[in-house]
Amino acid sequence: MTICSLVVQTLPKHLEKVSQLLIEMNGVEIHAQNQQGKLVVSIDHPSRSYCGEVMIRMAHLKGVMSSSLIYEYQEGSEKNSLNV
Amino acid sequence: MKLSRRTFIKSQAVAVAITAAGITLPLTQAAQAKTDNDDIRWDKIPCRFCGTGCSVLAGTRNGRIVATQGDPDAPVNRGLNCVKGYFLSKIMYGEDRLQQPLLRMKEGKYHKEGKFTPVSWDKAFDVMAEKWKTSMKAKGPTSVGLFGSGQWTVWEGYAASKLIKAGFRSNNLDPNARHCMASAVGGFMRTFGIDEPMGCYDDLEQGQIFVLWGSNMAEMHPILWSRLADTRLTKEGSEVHVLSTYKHRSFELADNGIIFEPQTDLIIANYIANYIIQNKAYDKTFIENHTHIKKTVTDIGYGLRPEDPREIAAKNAGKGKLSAMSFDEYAKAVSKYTLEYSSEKSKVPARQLERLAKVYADPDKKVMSLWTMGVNQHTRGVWMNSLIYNIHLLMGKISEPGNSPFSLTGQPSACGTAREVGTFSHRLPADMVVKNPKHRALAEKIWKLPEGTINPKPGFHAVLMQRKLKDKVMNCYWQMCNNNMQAGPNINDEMLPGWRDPENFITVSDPYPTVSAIEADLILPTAMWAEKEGAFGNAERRTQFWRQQVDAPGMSESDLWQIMEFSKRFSIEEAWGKEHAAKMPEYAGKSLYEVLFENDFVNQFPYKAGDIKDGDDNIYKNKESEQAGFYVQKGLFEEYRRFQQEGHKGHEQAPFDEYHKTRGLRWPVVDGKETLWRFREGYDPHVKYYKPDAKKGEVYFYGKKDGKANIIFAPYEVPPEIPSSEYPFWLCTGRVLEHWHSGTMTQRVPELHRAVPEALVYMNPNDARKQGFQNGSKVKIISPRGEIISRINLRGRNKPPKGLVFIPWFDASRLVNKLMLDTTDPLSKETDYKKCPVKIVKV
Repeated sequence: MTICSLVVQTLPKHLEKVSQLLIEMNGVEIHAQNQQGKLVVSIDHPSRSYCGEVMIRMAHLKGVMSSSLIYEYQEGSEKNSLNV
Repeated sequence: MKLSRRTFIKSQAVAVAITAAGITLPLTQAAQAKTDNDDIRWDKIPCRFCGTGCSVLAGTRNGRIVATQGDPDAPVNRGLNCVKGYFLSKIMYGEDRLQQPLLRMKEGKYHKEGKFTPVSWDKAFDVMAEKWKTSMKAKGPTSVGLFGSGQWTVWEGYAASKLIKAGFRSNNLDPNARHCMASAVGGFMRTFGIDEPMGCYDDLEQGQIFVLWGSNMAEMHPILWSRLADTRLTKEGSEVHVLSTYKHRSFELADNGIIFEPQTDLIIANYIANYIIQNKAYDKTFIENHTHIKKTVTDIGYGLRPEDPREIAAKNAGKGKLSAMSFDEYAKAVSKYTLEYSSEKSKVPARQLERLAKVYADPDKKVMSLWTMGVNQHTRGVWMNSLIYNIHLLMGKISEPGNSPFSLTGQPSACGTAREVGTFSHRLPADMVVKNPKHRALAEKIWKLPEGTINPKPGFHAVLMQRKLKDKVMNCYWQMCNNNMQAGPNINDEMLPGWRDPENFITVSDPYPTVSAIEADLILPTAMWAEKEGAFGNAERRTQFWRQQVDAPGMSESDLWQIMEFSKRFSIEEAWGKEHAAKMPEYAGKSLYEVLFENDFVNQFPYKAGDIKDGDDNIYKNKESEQAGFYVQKGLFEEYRRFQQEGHKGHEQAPFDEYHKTRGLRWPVVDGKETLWRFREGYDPHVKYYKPDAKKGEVYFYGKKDGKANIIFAPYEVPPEIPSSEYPFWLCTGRVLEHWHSGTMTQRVPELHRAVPEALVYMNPNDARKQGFQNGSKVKIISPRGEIISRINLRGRNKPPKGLVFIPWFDASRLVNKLMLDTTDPLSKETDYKKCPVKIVKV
């Protein structure tokens, strides 16, 4: 189990569109937002890798200025597999 | 209300994020937050990557870091963490971690063409020391050298400086920060006489207008970018101006996104100065009271080998002399840079240039200028740094909240280690230089050395070291904590030949088998980041410490231990020569280690296991101190602080123990208090020290003897190579969000690797169409110095204008920097990685 929370800063004019794209992502929920385009988002997924990849995807959505991880909780082990 | 464990954790996670975001939510939800960390031990540690200096909390369980999170108590990042920060816990656990020294051997002996064979530390250092001794005996101390890092901890840099400058009496010590920050240092020293920004990150909230001069903060400094974005989106009248040679992610927030022709930033900066003067917007009193106006000699060459025709043709190759000019002469010099001229040369629409000039010229607008490699990696980088200061000085917009020319850094301790400790080939700690006899005398006093120990001649800088290896002038080279074979310019022609020359012996210390390591003769496995006690200094003068969190794998040892251990192999007579050693009879027969590190100062702080604890009484190890029998890091830091106390005032750091208790302090630290804005009475206590009658709010640039900064005129000069019919495109190299530098750490994080597995060629769609390329086309990029193969990207995050391509350099399978000319700024010796003509053909 991995649970993360993030603050996603959007350009306010893109807030709705970005919100829509975010909630379509598996395991992603939006908990709060403000008029300046800030969103508080959580990711809840069995895989830590998945959470990381979703974070990267969020950072590159059109209208997203920054996405910052705030908190992460991880339980159970996941092999840190490497094939680089 | 009963909560499931999952819901509980999630509500806790969300509550923390809500606090960090500054969003108000109904109390019921926030109240659920409570820490529940099981058996994980959390401790603060600055991030291993960029120069922002975010503090993270590292969570350790069973001797392994299992998680990291943004540190909510950190003033820099306030609980935030970028994607690279998210994966910090994984950088130490790549499967190919080096765990023992590897020496090239054939038939049981070292051999240049031998296979890498595991050896003991003793064997490794015995072979290496023998090579160094032979070399020094034959050719003197300048035949050996060490290439270090802005990623070294403060004490690693300090110990290296002592080893090379005091121990071997060679100044061949340079950091990889030469490739990123040397021009910034040059700009600071020439304009202000003291290094590093006068402002701090608080300017991101205090400011109103933000101007990025050659920086893609959105990807390279994401946490600072989120602070800047916050201000832009919440403060009335806030604007963001972005200047670059191609469109990148930072343009999404830009109110004025400016794409200019490479090298014409010199023209744009002079145009703004001209606009300010033409419109009489300048602050006459400030200019008269706080500045001198100077001009720099021109036609200074390109830092190439002296026999290069471009150097021979240059009238004043390598010269930086300043001479006085009047305000009227200065006004005349910049008057050439009219709006029409500047717009035509830079290819920037006039209205965009004018809009930028107006915000600087408006006395009621607070402006923060920010820059990194676009300005520093520039054949006129030192000039360009000063041209930005000129604008701020003309307006008096400096040294106060929100008015802030701010040079950002790329490495976690480019400031703290490379610059402040002075691990450059010409520097000593606290902004002192080897050329100055008073500075050498102070260093010799603090280090307890006989007079004349420190060589007055600057050593070889980063690019020169490679040339000297190729020319066999230097024969022994030790590279620590960086990957220069991937980072350096002109790899095939100017670097590799020296490394593989049988007369030369190359040592690389690294946690991973990098491109550099596999071209070395001896590889030493290094303990990294949380595996040792450390200190970094970030871009806002903030020094941050951390404790050793975990053990390093196998036989890995920190660079600090390696430096100290290597010094045990030399007697003082071997290191200094008998004649010089005889000047200090009490050192007769002692080892270099005893003279440098057991000198009754460094070793005065006792250490025993169990001494190092956090506020919760968790006990931390300290391997180097355990091995040495004294608190090594404390001893080195306290000795280093003497340079700040006994040299030119203005660099003071707090005592060692203070830093373990705080989230860092910004120097100068005076009477326990950090300094946020320098050079202005009321913020900086040193103003009164240097000018006792200074009134509140008065500015005094005490880096210079008379308290006045230099406005330095420098004109536009052409770069060494420009696109031609044969090589029609500009190539610019740089980074992407997911990877840091040469990717030796981030490429080992599977998620980051998968996100951006290879370096692509970002190209303008019109150019691609003309060449017959499509998105994904496989192409060869060719410069006179080599070629690489990659794929075209037309839809990615970077959108170059016609005539320019961008390729990131993190990808070890595509060494893009081998295409680059080894040209440097003639003053700072920093390479220009931002403009190299290439041709691109389909494979």
